[in-house]
Amino acid sequence: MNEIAPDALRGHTDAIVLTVLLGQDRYGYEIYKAIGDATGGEYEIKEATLYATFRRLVRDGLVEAYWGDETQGGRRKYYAITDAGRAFQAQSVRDWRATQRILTTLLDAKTTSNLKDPR
Amino acid sequence: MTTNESQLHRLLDDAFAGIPSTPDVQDLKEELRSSLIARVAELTAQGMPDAEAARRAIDELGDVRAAAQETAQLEAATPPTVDILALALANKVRPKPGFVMRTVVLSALIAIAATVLVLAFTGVWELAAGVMVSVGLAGIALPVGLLTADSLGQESTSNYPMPRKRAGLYGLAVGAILTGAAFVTWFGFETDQVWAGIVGVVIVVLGALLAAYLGVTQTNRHKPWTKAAAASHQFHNTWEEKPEDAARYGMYSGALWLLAIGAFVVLSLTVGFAWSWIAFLVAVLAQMIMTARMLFGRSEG
Repeated sequence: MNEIAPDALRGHTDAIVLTVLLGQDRYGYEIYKAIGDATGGEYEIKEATLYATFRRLVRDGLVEAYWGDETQGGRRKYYAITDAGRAFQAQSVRDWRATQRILTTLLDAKTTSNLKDPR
Repeated sequence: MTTNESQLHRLLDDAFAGIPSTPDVQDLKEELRSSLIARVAELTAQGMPDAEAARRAIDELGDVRAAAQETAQLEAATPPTVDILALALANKVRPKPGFVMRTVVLSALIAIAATVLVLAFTGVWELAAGVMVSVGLAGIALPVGLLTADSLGQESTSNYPMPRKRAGLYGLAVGAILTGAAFVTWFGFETDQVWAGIVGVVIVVLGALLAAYLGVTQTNRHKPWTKAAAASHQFHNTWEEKPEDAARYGMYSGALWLLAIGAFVVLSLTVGFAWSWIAFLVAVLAQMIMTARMLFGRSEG
């Protein structure tokens, strides 16, 4: 696995979690699995980190949490995205696309290395 | 309870040892416990011995202790005193020019339609009922619905924009209620148009149901900075601080509007529609005075 990837990805944990919640309400372990599965296991967020993220998202009103009504085993705490969360997620996607476009251009040797000195 | 579960609980207790057992920390612990149980079940299903599965699951979690400590600190920290004005200024969002243009145009349309309808109701300008209903639909119901959807979909200084579909449904609900009201009014004037009355009531009820559904399922759309501002105790929330006053306000409001509706019906049947709407105007004024007294009234408890 690429060593640079985790550092670059860490700053986007909030947006990743919100994206996982777009379709339906999910509980912690399910979110953890969904992130691992989506990348074919290539990127896994540590679960403890994930739970700290949930608490921050709840505090900021981007998700709401509620305990499920499972009768056996551990009860599950579900997370639901709010309208604020949807807006934040959409903004994150737009920001990322812009970053990606700029970086793609700058890291393209054909364009960047051939720039002439303007003077 | 199986051996692997009791092993799990012990490992979890170890990780939380020495951390103050606050409600939030307890909550985190329960959440981690349910996740661990699921993971251990998965590992043992793959044939891993119980004890090893429990240890493996805990290890996979990452730094549980750090997460628990962070949670305890987050809860213990007193909310910082924030300068609300500075926060609002830093988060300021100007309305988009296109939105301002649409609002001005639609408001002008509504004002013209309202003027036409008032002239028609007071008999200054004789208009056929069909024309008046059309003016009400095209000039009031449609533009008010569009305005509602449009403004909910806008980002503001304190709110994120509402998702397009939900904003559209709010607009639809408002438009439907006004559309139904137009038909009911038509029936009020020409009582032989029974179908208009029935159609109107059905549309109003459907619109109200949609509005109620949207209201019940509405989630937060305030920006995080407003939460920080609210947590810093600079806002005094009379509704939560004085529950008796809030309850009294609710009951007074209910009585006021029942009275207004009753007065409207009685006045409509006796004096006529030209003047009966004043009952609602008076009720709105009374409501505003009550709200002001509730929010800014006597400062002592």
